[in-house]
Amino acid sequence: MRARRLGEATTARLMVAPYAIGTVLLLALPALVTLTLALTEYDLITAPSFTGLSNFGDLLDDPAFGDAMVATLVFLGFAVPLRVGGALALALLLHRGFRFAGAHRTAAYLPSVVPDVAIALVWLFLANPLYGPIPILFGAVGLPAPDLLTTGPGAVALTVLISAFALGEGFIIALAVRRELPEELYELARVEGASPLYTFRRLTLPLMAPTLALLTCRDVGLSLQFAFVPALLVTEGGPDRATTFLPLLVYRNAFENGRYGYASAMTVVTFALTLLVVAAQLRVLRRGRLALD
Amino acid sequence: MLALEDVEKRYGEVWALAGLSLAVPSGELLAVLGPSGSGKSTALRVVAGLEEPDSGRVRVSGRDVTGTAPGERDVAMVFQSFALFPHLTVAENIGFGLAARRAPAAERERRVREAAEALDIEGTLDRRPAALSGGERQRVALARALAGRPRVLLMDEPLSNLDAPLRERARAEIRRLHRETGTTVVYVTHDQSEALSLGQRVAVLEAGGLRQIGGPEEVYNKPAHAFVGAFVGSPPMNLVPAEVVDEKLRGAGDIVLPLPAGAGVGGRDRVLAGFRAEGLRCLVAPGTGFAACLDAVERAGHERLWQLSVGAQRLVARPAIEACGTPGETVHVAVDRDAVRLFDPESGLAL
Repeated sequence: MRARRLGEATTARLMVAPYAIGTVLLLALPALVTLTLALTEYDLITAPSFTGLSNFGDLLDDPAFGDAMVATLVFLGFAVPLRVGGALALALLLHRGFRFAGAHRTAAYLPSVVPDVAIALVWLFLANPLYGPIPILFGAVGLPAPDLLTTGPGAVALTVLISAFALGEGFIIALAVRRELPEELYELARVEGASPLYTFRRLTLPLMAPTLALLTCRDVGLSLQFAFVPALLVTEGGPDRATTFLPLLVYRNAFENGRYGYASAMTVVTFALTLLVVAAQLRVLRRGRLALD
Repeated sequence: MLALEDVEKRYGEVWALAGLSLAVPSGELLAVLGPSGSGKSTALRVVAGLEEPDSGRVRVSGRDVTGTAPGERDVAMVFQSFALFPHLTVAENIGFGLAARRAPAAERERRVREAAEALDIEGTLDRRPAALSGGERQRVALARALAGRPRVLLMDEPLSNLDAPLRERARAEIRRLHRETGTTVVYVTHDQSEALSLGQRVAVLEAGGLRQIGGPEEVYNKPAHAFVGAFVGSPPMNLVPAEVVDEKLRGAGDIVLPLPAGAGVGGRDRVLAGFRAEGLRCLVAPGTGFAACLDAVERAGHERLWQLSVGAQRLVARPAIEACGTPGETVHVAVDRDAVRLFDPESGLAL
């Protein structure tokens, strides 16, 4: 009754308020501050001094930034399809009810609730060239141990592999969407003689395409976060900058080199880059939708 | 020919099919009728291969298909929900099975066109299911099932999602398509009037078992089981538990029924007597039948039904057109000797 007196619009505003305040305090304001600091030189100790666009000019000449950009794109190129594909594959494997289906689903989701740092430390142990189980296992079956920590491609592969386990949320969404697809469509496909592969290609994939596109967009944004912890703790950005992805480079510049303004400029560029990638995907997605209608 | 041989299917403690045997000659339209939970849909799914029976065999044209994949059985299916693929056009929907089985493109296009013509939906071929009316969707589902030229067409309540006037037209359509294609059709429904009007024969299922199979008239007039009498027909058959006394049947209260000529009660002193509403003559001279209370008069256009009661026993009569009665009054009724069917009170089987 009280809600009726307040009016629907007022009630709606009241309910949204906590989130709106949170968004402003935790997202909009920091973003604005970052954007401002990108135009200054600031070491976190003395007052920032305005330098205009010179930080962005420096970025263009900084080989470390170019390398980080390439490394990040390579990371995205492998990690995003692996995670989205992995989430889809797990959802398709586990959507049916069977014995211990719940336990399997929990197992798929669980790594997403374990703190990144804990996972990173476990992988540091697993991949250790001297006593790690992975080199020992490879050795036991007579294969040369993979150089996960000592070569550039190996280290990138390792960070991709570590981040691949953070697919729990994508998995839950894909699982929910798959379970919403009417079972009768699949029964009909079976009666009409469609093979499992044909059914996947002609039925599951197109029906789940909008979801997968959305998951991919989301994953690109999140990837920059997923890349940070393993790069910082496991590979330490190396060997030789191979895994110094953009967020790690930002972190180093801001908190190790004391170039907060410069790091802010990098963040702005990283943000723009993410926007660009997501926008490109949305375009593809929209074209796909048009093809559907 | 399609045959189920002693098919059993259990879900946990529940018997969905308890030893069902059915034979459908080629080209027949068999209506499978039963209430929900009678196993009729399970039977259809077992034929399609969507469920595997626990025991028993399924044969299509003499070939034992038990255990083979649904796609290898030469059957097609129409679901109650129509199960159209929302992202495919009507043409792609109709041609789905042909494409899945890698029919050449030209052949596929020709057969999609033929199926669409047969159902008068050529104009919708480029559209998606969302842009179709309920009736059109139903036709697309039918066209898709026919495009593969199956030996057996399975239909699971295909008209339940349509509204009444559309349903009448769709019935006629199915009858016509069956006549033109000569396909064996198994048509599952819970609607007894649909089963009686469509089926060349009607199979009545209850609790996973076959209670009767026969022509619509036979199933209506000569139910082989009390359940069939109670389930088939609108109104259902009157069923009266009765005692056999002096060549007559005595039911609750004053109910007296004639014992049908040549009826073998087999030494039983109790039977279940059944008779149709039209077998109950109303307004007879007092003394020839029994008295009943007229509870209500139900009018349905051209016909009227009388709801009668004798004590706790309820009866339905279809009185002659000139008979008039007022609810609340006592009327005298009698049952025709030929109208009475006797059933065993325990097993329900006709005597």
